[in-house]
Amino acid sequence: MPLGMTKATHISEHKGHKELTKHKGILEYLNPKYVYFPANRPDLDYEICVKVGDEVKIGDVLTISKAYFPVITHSSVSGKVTAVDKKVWHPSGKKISAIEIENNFKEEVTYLKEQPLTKEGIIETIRLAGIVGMGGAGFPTHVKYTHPKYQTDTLIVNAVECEPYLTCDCVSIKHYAKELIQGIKYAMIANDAKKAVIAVKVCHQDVIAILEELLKDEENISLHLLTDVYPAGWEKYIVEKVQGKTYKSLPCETGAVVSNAGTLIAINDAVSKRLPLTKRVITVSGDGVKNPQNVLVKVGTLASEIIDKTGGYVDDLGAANLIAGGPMTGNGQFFDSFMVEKTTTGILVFKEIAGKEEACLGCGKCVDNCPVKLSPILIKLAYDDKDKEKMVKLHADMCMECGLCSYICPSRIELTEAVGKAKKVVRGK
Amino acid sequence: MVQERRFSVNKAPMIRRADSDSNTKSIMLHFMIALIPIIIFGFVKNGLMPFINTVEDKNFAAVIDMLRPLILVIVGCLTSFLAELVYFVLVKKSKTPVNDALNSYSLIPGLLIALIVPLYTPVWVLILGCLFGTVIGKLVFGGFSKNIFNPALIGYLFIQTAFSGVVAAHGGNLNPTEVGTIVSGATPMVAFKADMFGSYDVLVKPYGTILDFFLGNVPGALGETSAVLCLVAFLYLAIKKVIDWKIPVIYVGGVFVLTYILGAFNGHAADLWYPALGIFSGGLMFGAVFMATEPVTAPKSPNGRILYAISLAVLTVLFRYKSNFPEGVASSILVMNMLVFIYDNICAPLRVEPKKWKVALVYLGFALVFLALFAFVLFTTGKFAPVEAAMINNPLFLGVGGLK
Repeated sequence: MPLGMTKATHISEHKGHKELTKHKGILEYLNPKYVYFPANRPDLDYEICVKVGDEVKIGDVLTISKAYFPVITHSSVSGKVTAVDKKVWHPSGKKISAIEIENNFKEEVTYLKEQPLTKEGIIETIRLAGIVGMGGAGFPTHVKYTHPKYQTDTLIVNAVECEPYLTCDCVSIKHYAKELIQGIKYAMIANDAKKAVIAVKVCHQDVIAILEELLKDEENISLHLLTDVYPAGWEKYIVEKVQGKTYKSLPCETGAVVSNAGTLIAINDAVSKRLPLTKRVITVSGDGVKNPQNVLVKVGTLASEIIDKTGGYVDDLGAANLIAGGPMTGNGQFFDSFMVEKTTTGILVFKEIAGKEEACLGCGKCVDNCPVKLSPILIKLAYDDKDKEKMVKLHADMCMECGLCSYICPSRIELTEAVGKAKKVVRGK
Repeated sequence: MVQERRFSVNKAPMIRRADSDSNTKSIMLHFMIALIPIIIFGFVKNGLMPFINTVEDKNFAAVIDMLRPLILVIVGCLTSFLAELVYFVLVKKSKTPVNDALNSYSLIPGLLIALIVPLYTPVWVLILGCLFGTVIGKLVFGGFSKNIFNPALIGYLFIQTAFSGVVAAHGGNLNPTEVGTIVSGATPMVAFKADMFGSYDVLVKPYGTILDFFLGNVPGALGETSAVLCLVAFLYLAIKKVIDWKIPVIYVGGVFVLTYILGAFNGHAADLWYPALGIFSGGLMFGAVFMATEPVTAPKSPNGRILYAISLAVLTVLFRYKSNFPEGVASSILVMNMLVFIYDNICAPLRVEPKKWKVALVYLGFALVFLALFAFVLFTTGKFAPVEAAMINNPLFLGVGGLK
């Protein structure tokens, strides 16, 4: 492995958990009675474009975030705005004020304005459709595709989905493979990319077979197979594997731009069907639900309704954990009545295992396995000592909180949490 | 609307390997399993076989003597376990002292001490050694995971320094069969110390062939003689990922290479048996597999562990050829235990250091220190011993001669 490159680890004992949902179809749940959209979040400031009593259609603009990168949110149902400051749980784990819309089940749609099929036109459509990275990070796609300083020639499609349990991308690709290919072509135009590479894990043979069949006549789109490791879906890891070189802060430095497979399907919907991003596929899984399943839902639906729709919890569910997102990086939830966001990849329910933290054995497995080559246990010791100088020396700020150190620790030490805190200390100077 | 349900929130990530396999308990279990063949071998070689073949009067004392290896192992385990039990009851005021004592790997120091002390160590000496190792080597630091030194080696060193005369008076290392066959009455390491670059007839022949060394059919402590069983244990532990395979491989490999170079300068250039003897004797394999890898007292950074293993190899050779202790393994591991903190502090930041020349500079520094230490051993031993004499007499260099 060349110096400076990142690395990843096989999460063997959880490989099988994708089988819970991987081979099932997509359940549709598109008629929730109420949907909710954030009206206020601590990290983002929203401009609310509707008021109580307004009639809205699917695709009407509800909010525009006023952060550095503005993102538009559309209504996912047609109906009436019944509240703009209702307190609802958010996937981040906090209770926030939200816009509530009552569904009238008429499914009326406001389509996006037609744009020319040029670089600028497609990026404008992506902006108007409110498309963000659907792998979980939620970075606005139109900002990602506007990179005036760099020349990009490769579009990398992130179809890796390295989080255990999650299969929403995998199943979406199987169901919407043609839409994906079309979305890739639009994204290539938007980025002036000459070629596209779909990065997919070698263990998803069925996905590979479908894509290979479709890519027969596509000269500019190819597959790149990655081994079954975590975090193989991390942008930096994929870029290094596909491009053979690494970058400092942005993939564009290597001439590549990376988009999630779900994002590209959404781009296709926006460009060819003129539909904004109001639906997504979400994985409901874990040993706490009766029928693990992928569900196509409207953005803003409550998780409790989605779980109920799949068949509900297992009968003898005692103490349990609920996660929005993947098991490694997702957020724990206190209540199942949280709204689904554009970036929510999964709803996972696990029977609680009351594991106890033990004394550090000193095995160094966290250090061995860190994808960015940090030394988690040493950073934790420095953090416990409040030794900021040492945290800086150990580059705690490089942590991307993938969770691998806590996952791998035989003593169940909360390393990810400690390094995350140390990162804040280092960055807060 | 669906009824809201409350959940408990744990810290991310929500799945842990420790909940399925590879937790601290399984690591300790694998460690003990790896030692079982070595214990059985020690019993068969030093207890059972002499009892069957050599001892003529099979009375009660002889039976006790036959069971001696097992008694040592059991007493060692019990002593260090009880020491920790008392510690958890009195000092930690634990409500589940038995569980806590088991969870802190308390059996292992006593077990390891029993396997590396001479066979005829009196039981009371062993008990004192285990107590010393557990209390001074482990508990005064705050118990498991806080100790700096390998507790087993602390106990071993205590017995070596305070009771070597007592142990020798009780019969030392030789089992009843070996007493009859080995004329000089010395273990291979003692023979080696007497004539470091001796011929095959001096170093190997009195004990059989080099294969006997590999299999473990030579005089020595219970655990340390059989290189092949240490190798099997190493493979088991490495495959189960209980230990870092790099430490034993680099350590043993390093000693082999350095011993060969030393031998080559002193008339053993064509003899592969010479470095092979170096790695099959003196408990090197046992120390490399079970003690140098002990996670608490080894570096945590992977690059630190590699440098640690190289340092061990250089120090072991240094101690073997230049100090009073013939085997050099225990002392070099203890010295390196002391430096682990510094190694981690230097090496961990290097993994994320963006300036490549800085990284290269540090590694170059380490290489120079290793080279200098080995060069010192090389040029003051055997054929080059006159160099040492000249150095001592040179008023500029050491000044000892100048003072006279």
